[in-house]
Amino acid sequence: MRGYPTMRKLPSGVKRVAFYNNKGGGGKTTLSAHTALLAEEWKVNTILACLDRQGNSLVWLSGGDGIAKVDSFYERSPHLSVVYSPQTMPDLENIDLVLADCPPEIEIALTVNPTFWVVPVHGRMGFQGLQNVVRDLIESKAEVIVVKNNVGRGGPAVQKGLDKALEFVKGVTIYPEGIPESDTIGRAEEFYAASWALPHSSKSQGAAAMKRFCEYILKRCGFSQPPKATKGP
Amino acid sequence: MTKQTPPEYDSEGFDGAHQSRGLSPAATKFLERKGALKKKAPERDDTSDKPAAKTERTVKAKSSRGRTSERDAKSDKPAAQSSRRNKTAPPEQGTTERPDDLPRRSRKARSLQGRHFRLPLDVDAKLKDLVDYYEGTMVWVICKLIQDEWVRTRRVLRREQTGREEADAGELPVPSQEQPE
Repeated sequence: MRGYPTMRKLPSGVKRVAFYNNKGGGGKTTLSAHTALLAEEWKVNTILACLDRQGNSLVWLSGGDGIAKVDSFYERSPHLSVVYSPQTMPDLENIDLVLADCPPEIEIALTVNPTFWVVPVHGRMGFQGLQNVVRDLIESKAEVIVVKNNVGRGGPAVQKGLDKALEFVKGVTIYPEGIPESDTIGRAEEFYAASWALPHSSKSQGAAAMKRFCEYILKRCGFSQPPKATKGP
Repeated sequence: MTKQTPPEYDSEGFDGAHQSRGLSPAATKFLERKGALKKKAPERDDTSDKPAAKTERTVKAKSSRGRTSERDAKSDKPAAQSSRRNKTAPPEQGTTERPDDLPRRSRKARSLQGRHFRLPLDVDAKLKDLVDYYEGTMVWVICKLIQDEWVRTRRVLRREQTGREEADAGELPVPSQEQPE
């Protein structure tokens, strides 16, 4: 069209991943905190924006630091910081990865303008929460990755029903493996740590599955695990 | 590896639970120091000399017409003091402004914002999304959509017209929707 700029996407080198579901308690904070912790291990410059007023991401990643709760931010390492910004997405730049732990409100989640949506789903209400907003998420042009969380909780009938229902959801990517119900993952917030870093977690299937999921997200964003430093002869 | 037992529960609660929307001043400073916060465009200074000069000129122009009453003499007050009265005062001759009209905005401000219409809330939200996505204005997005739809409609009309003309000329039969049984 003469006189008007051509259609183009926002120029931005920052990868943004929004963890969102219309239902609370689905695993948004757990997934976002774990992804942030793995990104830190991979030395990806990351900021986790905690948009949920509960502030659990901030408390989790700051290890319950008292000053962080007053100042509303915490610099965990040179590679990972977390900022508490209830209900408003800050305009971030000069960073490799921005993770947004969204509250269950679509108006706020859409302001993130993410590269990927990660939607954890469990059970009937979790699926209903996805159905409520899936059209809005697809219309945002970002890829929607649906993760079956707490797989196994509620018994096989619940899982079968969810799998069957998800077959009819078009336009989204289903993370094939899912994350199993796991006491180790549940304990992670108690220790303010990643589930794979907990004591006696090396044999936990849940912790391993969680780590694989976080690796999947980071790789989808174009990041790779840095090579381990080898000791000299 | 972390400790063998988790830390004790904190009974102090979370200070940010009552924080207003958005970043705290400390978090803003931290992100600015880190260079991770996008700088906002500088806001226009409304208290610049320009409007004051304009007010001065207006007062001069008024005074050149001569005062006929004591009420006119009071109009030499600064604009800020008399602005409230000016809004409710009857308009000057030669303007179309009525006393019950909304206050006029400058032409520049109007062209920038360009909102002469009201849309349903859900459509409005989507329009804002498109504006953000394409880094344009609402007028640009609407113009683009109308232009695209117009081109599409014209193509359909032209195709129909061409088909009808060819059918009239007997070269090709008009493609019918009904399938022969």
